[in-house]
Amino acid sequence: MSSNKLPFGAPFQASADSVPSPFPQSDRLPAFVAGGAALALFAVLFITVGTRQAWLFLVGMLLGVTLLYASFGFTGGWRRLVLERRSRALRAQLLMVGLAATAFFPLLAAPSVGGKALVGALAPAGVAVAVGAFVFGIGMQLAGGCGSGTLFTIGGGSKRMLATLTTFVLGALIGTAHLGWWLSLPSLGNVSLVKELGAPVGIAVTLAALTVVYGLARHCEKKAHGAIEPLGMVAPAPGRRLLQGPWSLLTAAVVLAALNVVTLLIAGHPWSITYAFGLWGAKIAQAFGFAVSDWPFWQAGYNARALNSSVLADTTSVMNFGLMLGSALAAALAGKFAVGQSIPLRGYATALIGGLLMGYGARVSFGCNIGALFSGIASGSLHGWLWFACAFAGSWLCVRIIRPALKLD
Amino acid sequence: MTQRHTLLFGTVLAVAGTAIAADHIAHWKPSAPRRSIATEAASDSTRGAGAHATPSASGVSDTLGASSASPSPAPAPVAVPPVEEEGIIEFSPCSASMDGLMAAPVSPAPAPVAPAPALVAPAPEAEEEIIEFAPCAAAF
Repeated sequence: MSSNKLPFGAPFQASADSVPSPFPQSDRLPAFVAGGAALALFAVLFITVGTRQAWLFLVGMLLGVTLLYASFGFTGGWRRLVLERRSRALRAQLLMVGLAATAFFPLLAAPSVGGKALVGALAPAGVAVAVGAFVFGIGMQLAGGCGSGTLFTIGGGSKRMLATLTTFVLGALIGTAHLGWWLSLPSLGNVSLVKELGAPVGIAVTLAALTVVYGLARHCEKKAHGAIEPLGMVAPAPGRRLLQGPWSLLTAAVVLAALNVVTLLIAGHPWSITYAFGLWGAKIAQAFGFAVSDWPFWQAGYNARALNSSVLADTTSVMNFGLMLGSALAAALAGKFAVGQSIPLRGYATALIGGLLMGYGARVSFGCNIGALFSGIASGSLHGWLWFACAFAGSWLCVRIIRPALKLD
Repeated sequence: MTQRHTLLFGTVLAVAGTAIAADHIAHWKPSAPRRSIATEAASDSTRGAGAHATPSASGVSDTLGASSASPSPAPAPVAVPPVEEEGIIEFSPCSASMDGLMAAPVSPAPAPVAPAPALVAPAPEAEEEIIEFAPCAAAF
């Protein structure tokens, strides 16, 4: 490991003297391993499953590369807003959602696209979403990463987030056992702006709401600092930025929105992450003799099919695998694989607790920052907005009260 | 990157890869051609019923049953036209072909191809109860 590497948890930046080689000597092994594993999995998907899954795997890899090179995380961005009044990350997220919504609404309003009916990330807006998202918000600030953040930092070689993933999976599995009860609580049901208002008005309303939040965040930063950080800001790095990063948040927002649209067109549904965690947990539990197939959740339609089929037949799982391998390859190419890894025991404890909270919260609130917030709002689902508000509230609570109380900062 | 780190991530990758491979092999249907989404719902009835009623050690035999096995003198337990077996094993939540499987109990929609009672679980009462919270939302 070269001495000029930066800790991975820090914003991903390449200093002028850190990127002379396109392929750092010390990271050849992870690059070859990640590249080889990606190639092998792509071949298996292409040959034994189908071209669609193979394409989705590639989309997942591109998502991983983008997330890693731009350090596009929700957790750090929200924390910066709460603690430092810096809104750059949140504004990039809002831009990303707005771009995706502009493409999603007409696609979802159409009866079919290319002979295929597309389905948005719709879910009932109710108590389950509110509580689950709030719990998720606490968990993400304890763990230091959300659903996508957990995966791309694991790809980047984070041991701590590997621990988070284990309890994330466990929490999601427990959530599947309790989801029936949560859904018996009051709810407005599925509210789709695409259906209620139509695509043009729905887009206008969504963009207006996103603009209001964007303006509030911008105002907050300007009031505190006198000026705002531009979205296109990126650390100086000579050449090879495309292959080694860093990418600006603006670039990442555009690319991630485009890739979510591509996901919708190929998979028939928007980008999601955490469903797969529950599925992995159920498969692992089943392998150890637990009769999860007797649970109501795992007897229902798609869930039963997913449990009784290859994990490679599940679109979300395949994209998650791609995301991790893509970010691993990107980190290795940039010479940033597994750097800055000195973690105290308390760090692992919060990672485990945070993962558990996130897994449970994501399951009962129908997704994470990606499946519920990004894809939900972009699909015109009211639950996405509710999720956003409640997760941010949970996040605020953790950053302002829980973390200081536990002396984590 | 330290040696310990290399060892840890190498082990994780190996274990995860082995688990994925084992799961995939257990459910893979080598003799089946790639299937279309539209016919997957139909073949699922066979797979689902087989998995619940006559579970096999690997699960492979359930899926191979009607598609590639040699003709048997005994009557087939599930009457599904052979053409319906030519589907894919890939699927996605909430896709159009899943509508029949995810229909809400208040307005039970007929499955696109196969008869509704044989779709997922052997107990209709359980199905009525559980499908209620299995809209697309559960898959995000």
